[in-house]
Amino acid sequence: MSATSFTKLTKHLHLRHIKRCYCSSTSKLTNSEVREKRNALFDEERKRQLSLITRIEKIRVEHIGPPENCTLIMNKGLSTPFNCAAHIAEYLTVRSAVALVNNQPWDMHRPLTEDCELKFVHYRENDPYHANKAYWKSCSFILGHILEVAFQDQYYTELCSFPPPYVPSGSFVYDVKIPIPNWQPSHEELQCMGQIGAKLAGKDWKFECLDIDETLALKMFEDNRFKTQQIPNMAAQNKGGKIRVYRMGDHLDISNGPLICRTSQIGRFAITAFHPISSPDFGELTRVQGLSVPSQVLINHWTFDFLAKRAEKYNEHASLPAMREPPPVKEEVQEEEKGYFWRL
Amino acid sequence: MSLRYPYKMSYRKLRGTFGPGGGPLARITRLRMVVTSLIRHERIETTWNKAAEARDYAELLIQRAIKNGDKHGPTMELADFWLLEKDLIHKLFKVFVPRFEKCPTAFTKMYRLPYVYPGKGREMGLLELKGNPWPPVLPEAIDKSKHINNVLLNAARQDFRMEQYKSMDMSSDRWHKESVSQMSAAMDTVAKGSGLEETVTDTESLLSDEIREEKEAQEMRELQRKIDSLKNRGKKKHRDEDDDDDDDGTYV
Repeated sequence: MSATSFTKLTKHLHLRHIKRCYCSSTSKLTNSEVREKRNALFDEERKRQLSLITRIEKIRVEHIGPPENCTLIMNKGLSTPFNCAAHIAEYLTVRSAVALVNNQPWDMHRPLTEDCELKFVHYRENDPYHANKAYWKSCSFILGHILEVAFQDQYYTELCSFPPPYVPSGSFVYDVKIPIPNWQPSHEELQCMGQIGAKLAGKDWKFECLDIDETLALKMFEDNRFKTQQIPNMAAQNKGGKIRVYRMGDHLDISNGPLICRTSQIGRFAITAFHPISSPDFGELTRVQGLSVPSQVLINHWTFDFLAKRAEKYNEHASLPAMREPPPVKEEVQEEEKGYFWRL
Repeated sequence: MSLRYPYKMSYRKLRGTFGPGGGPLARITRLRMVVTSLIRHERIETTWNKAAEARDYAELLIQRAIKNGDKHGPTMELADFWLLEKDLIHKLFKVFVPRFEKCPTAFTKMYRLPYVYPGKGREMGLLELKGNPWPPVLPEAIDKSKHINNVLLNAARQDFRMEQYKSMDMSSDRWHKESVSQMSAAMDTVAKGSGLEETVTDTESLLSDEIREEKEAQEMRELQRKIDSLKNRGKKKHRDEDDDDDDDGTYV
């Protein structure tokens, strides 16, 4: 890479390994400061929630599936499906995307609350519907992380929301406000941002989740005007007025989940396109699209490039961000996806 | 009647089935033993060549048994020859005939086995009758159609086809409209043939009749050629519709 193209490339992007930026901001908000604050709140809240458990109760977990069916006695409100997997076999901890608790999808790092039946789902099952869905959602989540991290501190990006996952649409999506008017990233810039996602595989961060109150959620996301508008509605729709917050490394975001177990499950990862969109409630935004395939699923580079070309097109399946939360994905979608192949 | 799987026309050499010098008789005796044990155990392991040769005879035996039944002299003779243990003749007619009566494919199946090491370095094979009581040789195949890469690829394929259909409709429409307008314009000028004379200027009127007629004929010929070429192009477009769809510049 020549020197000129490099300076052009690093015009907006923050590449820490190569170029150090000394952007001291006294008045303006920066993404890194906001992230630190959110992390501190998350840690505090988790400590508080753990301190509420004073007496350890036991629950009975029936595991079904390979290597063998077995029964585990675990701690109520503390043990997660990941802990169960660690007791059974190591490969379950590595490959499992989500768990099925009483046949309902459940995060690998979410504590179990009652006696239950437990199954583990990975990406190469006969029907990996839940794993695919969780993976697509997690990729949108990671897109949010990249968009907050990739820019220099002087550019304060605000994440808006991501639509429910639909794998056949060809790309996962995050709608975001980028403070650079009419900016279209070059091919190299897209590649650089995609690499941030691909490198997460080596970092092996886990997706932790926490149910928090509306007031705390509002405090946590007070610097994000889109999320603050959405939170009251979401709390009204969710059970018990709680908001589920996920943390991956130092990135925090709201999602109903479930998300995948760890970032080491990410294989190929690419950001393919930025499209300008206008939402009736949130104004002018940018729709960022990407494509990824888990490491467990092997894909030829030609095939991946072919799919990436398709992922460049504007994703029409993804609904525009609006104040009303998009309706939850119905069971019909699964049916549709199941029958998708036979209709071809 | 023919065998229901790809088989070799030439025979395989079975060397030293009963030590050197056995001759063709030893070969047949050895194959009789293999067929007998196949009917007895329904799944056997032996060298690849022996299994493949015995397979042909076993298939033929079952086919004849199904076709002719147990009251057919030659078939009973055949069964008596190939089955060294005579209780297996009953098994052939009472177990395998009902089992394979409606089987549309071959009755047997073969698998390659790994070399035995240390050993004589022979190719090993597994021969089995279908519908046997043993557990399956291969594990159950995984259905990969719902893996994330295939979901994406299938969706891409569907997208591609939809685009193809759309562009085909578009192009045929465009051809229709444009060619009709151009053709009608050309036809109008031909129909106005006499009108050409009226527009001839005075200087031209001074020319001799012969030259004028020649010029007129030339113009008519040119128009005819234009019409023909348009027609031909239309035909060609119809033929090539499936191949190339995005050629906007062809009619300009």
